[in-house]
Amino acid sequence: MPLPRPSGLSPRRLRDTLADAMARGPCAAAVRGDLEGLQPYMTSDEQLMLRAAAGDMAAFAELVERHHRSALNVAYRFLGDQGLAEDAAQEAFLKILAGAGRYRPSAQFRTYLYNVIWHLCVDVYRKKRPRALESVPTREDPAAGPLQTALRRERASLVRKAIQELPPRQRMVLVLKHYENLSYREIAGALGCSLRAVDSLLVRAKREMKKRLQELL
Amino acid sequence: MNCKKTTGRLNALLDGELSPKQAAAVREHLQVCAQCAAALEELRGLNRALELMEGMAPPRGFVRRVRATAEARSLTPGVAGWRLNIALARFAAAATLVAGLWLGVAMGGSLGGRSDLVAQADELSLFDLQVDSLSGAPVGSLAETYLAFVSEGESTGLADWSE
Repeated sequence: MPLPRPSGLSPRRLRDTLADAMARGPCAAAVRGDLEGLQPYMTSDEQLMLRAAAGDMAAFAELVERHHRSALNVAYRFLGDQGLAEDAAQEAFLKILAGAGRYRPSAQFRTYLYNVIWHLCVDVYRKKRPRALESVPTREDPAAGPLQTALRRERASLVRKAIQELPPRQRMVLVLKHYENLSYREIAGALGCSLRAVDSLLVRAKREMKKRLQELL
Repeated sequence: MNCKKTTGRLNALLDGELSPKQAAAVREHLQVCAQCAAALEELRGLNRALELMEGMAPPRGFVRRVRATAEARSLTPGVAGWRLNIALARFAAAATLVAGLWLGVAMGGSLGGRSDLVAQADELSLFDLQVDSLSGAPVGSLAETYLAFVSEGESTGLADWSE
């Protein structure tokens, strides 16, 4: 059943209202500047989010379809547990939908998504302190023999344990940089910290990882 | 650029986060410092090792479940949900008021029999128990005239209809 569309919040009406303000308001230049700054971000993710805010569940489902792999992988690499990662990723999308009316496309949608996942993962980390699983999923190389496959699994397990031993902020910065290939600026936006802090956290994370994985290097 | 500054920027160099000027300065130092060059190679090896840990395959039906959960929880985003909640609260208040009124009427109806009994008691006291509810009527009043007429039959100034 489609959700009721609240009056005055359709994307078209929002754009028309802003365009009107640009043409007539005393701060037209500033508004124009803001809108021009927003243009690169008014991609389909942000438009889907605005439609989801207006009650369009199909738009919400499309957003989930586009970003669920990233959400799951970030949560999994942070938490080290597939079940917890699935719960965290699902809850992240539900929280985003519940708060969609307050969403403003001032940054890319995925920065917002990672921010929500970060807070949820930290909550889970503080409550549950998940223990590492014995087996780690690894890509099977059809050409590799059983010994190589076993070695690969063991090394993957070492890497996963080393990541799990990092403090939360270092861990998330490493996951977002190395596995999601976010820029330092995007990571800063997701975690709500400065660029310098991101750089410092990464340096410390890699220093710790080097110590723990010396035998692999 | 010295070794301390260089090693502090090796990560950013590999991540492409240095400005062209900064990157050039780091590379210049790396060409003349074997220790820093070895540190860079170690970092590259670490990045390769990190690739050993893979992500998880998305569980089957994950997107469908998220949407179904959102619909089951009646998640209405932002303002729409806020307005719906207010409407629901008003409906609940109205329903409570109606229920309260109904209860009051129902309770009042169950007390209706008592008023009938009171009326019957009044009737009995006036006619069957010979209680004169008009005794002590003021002098010259219609009630006094009526009492005199029905009790003794003497005219009190009213027309004598028996004649």
